[in-house]
Amino acid sequence: MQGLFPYVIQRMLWAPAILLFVSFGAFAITRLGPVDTVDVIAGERADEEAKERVRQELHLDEPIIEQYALYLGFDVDRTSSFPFIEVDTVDGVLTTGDFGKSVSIYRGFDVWDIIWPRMLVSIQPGMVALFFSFTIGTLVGVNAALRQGTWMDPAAIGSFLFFQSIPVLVSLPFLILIFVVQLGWLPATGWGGPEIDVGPQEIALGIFSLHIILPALALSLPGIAGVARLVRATTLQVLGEDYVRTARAKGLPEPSVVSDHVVRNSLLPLVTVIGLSLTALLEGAFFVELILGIPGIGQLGVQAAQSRDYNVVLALVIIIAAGFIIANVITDIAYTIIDPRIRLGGPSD
Amino acid sequence: MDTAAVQVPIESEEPTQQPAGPWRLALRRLSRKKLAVIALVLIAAFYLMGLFAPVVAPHDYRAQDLDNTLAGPSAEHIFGTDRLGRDQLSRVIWSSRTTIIVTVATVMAGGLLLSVGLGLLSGYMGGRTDTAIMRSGEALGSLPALPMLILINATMRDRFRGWVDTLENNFSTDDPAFIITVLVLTLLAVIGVVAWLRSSRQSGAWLGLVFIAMFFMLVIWGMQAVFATAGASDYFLIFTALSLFFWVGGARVIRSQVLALRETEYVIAAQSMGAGTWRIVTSHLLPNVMPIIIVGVSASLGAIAGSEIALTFLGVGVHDPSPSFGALIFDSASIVTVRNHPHLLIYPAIIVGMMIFSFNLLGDALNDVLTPRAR
Repeated sequence: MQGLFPYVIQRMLWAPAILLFVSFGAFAITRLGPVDTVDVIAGERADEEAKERVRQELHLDEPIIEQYALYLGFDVDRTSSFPFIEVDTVDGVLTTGDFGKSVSIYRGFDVWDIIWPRMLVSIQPGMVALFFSFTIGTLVGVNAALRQGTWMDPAAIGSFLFFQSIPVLVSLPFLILIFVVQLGWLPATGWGGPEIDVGPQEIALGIFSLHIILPALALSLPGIAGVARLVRATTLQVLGEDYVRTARAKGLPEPSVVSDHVVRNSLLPLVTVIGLSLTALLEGAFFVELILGIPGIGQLGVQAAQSRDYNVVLALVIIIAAGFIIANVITDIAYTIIDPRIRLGGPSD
Repeated sequence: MDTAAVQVPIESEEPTQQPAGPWRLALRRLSRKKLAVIALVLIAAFYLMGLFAPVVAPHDYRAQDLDNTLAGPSAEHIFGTDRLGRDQLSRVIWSSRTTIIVTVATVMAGGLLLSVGLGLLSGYMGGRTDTAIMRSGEALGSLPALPMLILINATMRDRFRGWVDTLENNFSTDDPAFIITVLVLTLLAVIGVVAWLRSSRQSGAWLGLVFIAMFFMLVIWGMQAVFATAGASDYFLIFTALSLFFWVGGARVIRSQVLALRETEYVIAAQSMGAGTWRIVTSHLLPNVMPIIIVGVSASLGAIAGSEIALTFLGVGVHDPSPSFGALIFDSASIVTVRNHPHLLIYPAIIVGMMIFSFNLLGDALNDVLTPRAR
């Protein structure tokens, strides 16, 4: 039981704290986990002296907390005596948005310059898929609820539940088999379309070409069932409300009742599943981009993990985590504004 | 006299028309759901196939036949052969074994040990313990799991291999220390059973001792068996990383259930009669959260199996030559292979799809059957 304003402030303060915690965890894993960061950079056959130099350049010989502070952009001066710790700002994530340099796949390039054009590529199929899974899911859900009791309700929901169970890495090759190999309607793989220059490199706007269809289809299919089920449940609930009966009683035509009174109220809870859908989309993007050869962050992440480019992987994890935490907080806040019962009446959890 | 004569027949009647227990009722309700029964049969077949892989598989999953690569389905190779001439059917069968190892280990570690333990602890202790557990759960839960799993698996693999190698070298069945440990655990278990029986099956603490001793024995035997197989460090790393992310949901549900149970009359009555924490947890809380645990585990099975396949597909899971559905699909998902040898994709993909669909169907059905109020 608390007011809206304190709740919003609490949620907003929670986000940076959790992000700091998570980024430290990820940082510690990349710095402590591998035995061979130095080997990747200096080469496995480098002599001890060269390895030692690399180790010092990367500050791998310092305590993990100080390495992390350096990564964030704060240089702690250890020579000064205890109460007066001098902290200088250097290039780092928090100070200048500098995620360091790639060590193996694009050696010497800024990690940020590698990542953000690829994010722009990944967002395109993601957004299209999000749009389709929500519109199709809503249509299916509302229609299933209106036809409750007929065979069409379980048939529609059931078939999309089946699609939800099929992992993207299984469904996508089948889609290729059908639409590319058998029917020949779509381009096989790759990414194309009108190119625009975004600074570090040119990216293609696949959203304006046939290349968008396969990834968007594969990504949206698993998400439809979740949306449809939720919309069906809330629509059934709304259909039983008094104001719907009133609308019908005063002689409004059925389409108008459905569109103005039912759907409008049954779509509110959809806000809560956007976060979940984003997770599913992101996880799907890894497989879609790998199979179809789309130069997005999923493909980059896998390449970087396999060639041990830990700076790139670390930056990706931090950026993705930041995006998710912010999305979650916004969802929470939006939902409490829309439906105050969540905050005021519900259980504390 | 008269009242007693009336009472006696009622008492003697009771055992004959014993009311069905909640488990029997649930089982009866489950057997009425046709889809769920089919799913259960499929899952059972799948697990048996993996368990008896060495017997069931017609060929060695590693045996290469380089004269006969990428062959289509035939009488000898029902699912055809892959690009090294290895029998695809045998690889599929052995892959299901990988899935079984990972799902069972993750359910044991993450689903049961972590989520039940932390959920009970969090709900029953409350206060700071509760806050610490739930906050770290929330931190883990707000992360997209896949990138984190990729990060962990990609960076920790060499470390893990080192650890497992040292363990493997210092951990053989011939080692006297191993035999002594097992003997001590057996002794503890026997003492526990005897003490439990002598306390006329009342003392939960003795039974707990038996369970703990048995559990460690199982772990030791299991680890010994795992180390004997090739690629053990991969399995180990995968289930450790997966457990880290799969306890949160279960723990949260169990906690909220325990919070409700803690206020029930029978728990308060037990507390007021001086029952210890252990007794309340084992004989009042655990049986009541059992349905939730089962529902949670069955609902997460599909996700766990899918995660292992996904990680292997991305090259950070199980590594060659250990077979996995992820590797099978990765090898056959490229456009060239799909165009020319679709049989390599179709069979493993159908089996994976059916498996995960069955897991989800069963999870849904158990949810309906065991937690009727949730509907």
